[in-house]
Amino acid sequence: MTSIDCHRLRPVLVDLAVGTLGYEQAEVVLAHIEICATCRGDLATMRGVATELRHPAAPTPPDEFWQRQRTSIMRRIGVEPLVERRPTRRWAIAGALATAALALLLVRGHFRAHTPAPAHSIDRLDDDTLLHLDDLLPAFVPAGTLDDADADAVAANDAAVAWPGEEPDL
Amino acid sequence: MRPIALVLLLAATLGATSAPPARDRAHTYLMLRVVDALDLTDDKALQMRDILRRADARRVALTTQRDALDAKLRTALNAAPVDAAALGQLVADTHNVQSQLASLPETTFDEAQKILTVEQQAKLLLFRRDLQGEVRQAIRRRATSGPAHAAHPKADGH
Repeated sequence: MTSIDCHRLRPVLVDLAVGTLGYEQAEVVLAHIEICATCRGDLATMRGVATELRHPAAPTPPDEFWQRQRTSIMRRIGVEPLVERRPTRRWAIAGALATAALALLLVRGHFRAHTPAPAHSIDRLDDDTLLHLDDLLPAFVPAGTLDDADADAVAANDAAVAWPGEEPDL
Repeated sequence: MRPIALVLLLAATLGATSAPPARDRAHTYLMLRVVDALDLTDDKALQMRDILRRADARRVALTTQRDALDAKLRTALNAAPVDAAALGQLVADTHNVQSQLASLPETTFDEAQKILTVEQQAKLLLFRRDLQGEVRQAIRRRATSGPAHAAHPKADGH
């Protein structure tokens, strides 16, 4: 294999790794990858990066964050910060619990708002592609399974009905 | 480099950067999901791609045959008097095509079994059902949130 092929196909390796390359073009690239160890390694690396991006490690707030949150809440509920008056043990526990709950809500809200859909999420497909995918599946999935899967989808929708005061978890 | 080769190289590069048709994107998406779900090596991915491509080509051919036979059945039923012998042959042909269509997923799985480990076969059985559920759910979500089917060329039977 010549370096010209590697050079020509290199730009579309990224598309292949994240799933945005067309079928016919993917065929060409996969055929090249079969015989080119360099590009195969690059593709594996790119897929690894894509996976990392899809599953980012949840950040752990530093101790200062918890301390600030605690102080803020204690101030809100009328309790002076530790430096001025030491709260009772009961207040300390309540404050810690309230802080933890608030922090949990904040972190959850942040990730709901900012976490992108996974690279291979079906929600990233446009309508036409999704419907063509639906057309492809009968060659791949038995009819009985289709009915089961349909029922599963209905059940999943039912399960996604929100509890009072909470958004549906779709 | 000779001019013709350069033109061909440029055409291939341009083709690689233009947006692929929805059908190609669906094929690519399916392959990527299969590769991920089954953790396929590159050579197995290539073999699996060929299996799925053959299965889809077979599905399209059988669907076309079925549609043509359905039309012939309707015509034969509307004829007066009904030609029982011809209708009988049409019934046999249509039933045969429908049977082949129904068994296509298992034919596909049988072919896949030859190249996959037992673990990958198990993953495939679970994955295909999961994917179907995802697709149905996504279509249902979009159907309730706006027109999603307008641009779909269902009429081509593919």
